[in-house]
Amino acid sequence: MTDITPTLTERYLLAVSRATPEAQRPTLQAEVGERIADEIDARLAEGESPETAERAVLTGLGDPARLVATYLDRPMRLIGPRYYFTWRRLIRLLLVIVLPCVAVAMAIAGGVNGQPIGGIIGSMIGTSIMVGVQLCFWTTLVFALLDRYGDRLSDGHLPQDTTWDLEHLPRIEPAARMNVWSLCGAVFWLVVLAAFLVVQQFEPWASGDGTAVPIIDPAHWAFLLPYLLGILAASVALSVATYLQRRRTWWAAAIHAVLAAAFLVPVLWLWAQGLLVNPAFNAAVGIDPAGDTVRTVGIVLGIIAGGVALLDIVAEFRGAWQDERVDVGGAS
Amino acid sequence: MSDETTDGHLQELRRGTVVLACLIRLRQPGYGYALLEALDGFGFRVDANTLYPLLRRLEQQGCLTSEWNTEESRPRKFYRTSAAGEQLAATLLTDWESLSASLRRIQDGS
Repeated sequence: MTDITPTLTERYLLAVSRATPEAQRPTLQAEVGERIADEIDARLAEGESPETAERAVLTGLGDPARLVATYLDRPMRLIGPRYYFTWRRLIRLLLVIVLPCVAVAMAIAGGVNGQPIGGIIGSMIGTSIMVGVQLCFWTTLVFALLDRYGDRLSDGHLPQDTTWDLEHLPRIEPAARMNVWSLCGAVFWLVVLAAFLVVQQFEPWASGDGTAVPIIDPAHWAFLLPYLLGILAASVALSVATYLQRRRTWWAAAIHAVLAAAFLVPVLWLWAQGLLVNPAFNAAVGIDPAGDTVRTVGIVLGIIAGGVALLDIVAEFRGAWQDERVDVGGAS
Repeated sequence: MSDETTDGHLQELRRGTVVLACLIRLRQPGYGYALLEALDGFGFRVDANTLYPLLRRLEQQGCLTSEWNTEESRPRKFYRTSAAGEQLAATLLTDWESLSASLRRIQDGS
């Protein structure tokens, strides 16, 4: 009987769970868990140490994704099981490395050529999608051909997946969950932002005579202010809900992404059009919105704001991914 | 003939018989690892990577039923041959025997 809590096994089961469709997760995980425990017990009975036994059993099972595919009879039609996992790894790697490089390159090129921010963002998105589609198509085509006609090149035997070992198992990071201080921090900054939105309306210092000169163009007020405050309120509610749930979920991360986009897209669009800032405020503080320096600073600020929001969104999804937990042997 | 070629042909020959062995053995309820050991004990070597997915497939096809046994120290999934599984076993066994007889006749005839 195994008394230890084998974290390698837990990590293996987490990887199994990630490769399994939602509906079949609990049962498949429990079945693989049963098999691992039984195989470890058999090795312990032969006098192996628990660590050696665990490593040997998990290594014997191989890549969790591949194991899941055999358990589920997952149809892999265009790319057969022989190359499916290599293909998937390569595609992911290519997309993760190439697309950000393309996007950054487009941003730099657009900035140098003095394109408006809207145009730069448009070409970043457009080119990224185009490059992504091309990457997927050509890589897939090569693998599909290899899968069908590769036999004539080699001796036709199924190669072992030599690219996988135990080091590839996902890490389970202990208690990276939201504590009350990070909740306070998140709420604090949202409140500061909301307060700024309200207070800048009554900003008296710019005019020099004590009358209010709002920073944001009052032309958008009726819609923009309640809209932005509403999104901030929703973000506060989301933070509290995440804290109460004690774990970050995929749903919360997705809602967070939508809220962030709903806030930033209109603001950045108005910013790019030069419509966000009150012309009276510009005049009062002596900023020429058409000047080169102001344009450049504007582009940089826009890219920073978009980049920070994007990193934040990615961090939330990563958190949801980390907080996914395994119920070892918990099926009924 | 190379060993690998022989292994490949042996594997193909045995593939269907694993199903038959499972269906017969699981008239008494059993879990994956115990079944593997039992079959091994009868001289029926089955790869675990073949057996576990096979049990799932047979269950989906209705030839096996399953139940999680939580009475012991850890939960195990116990499989048992269903009525449909019994029928399949009977059909397969008949076919196996007639194949065997045919093979013998072919040998004798040459």
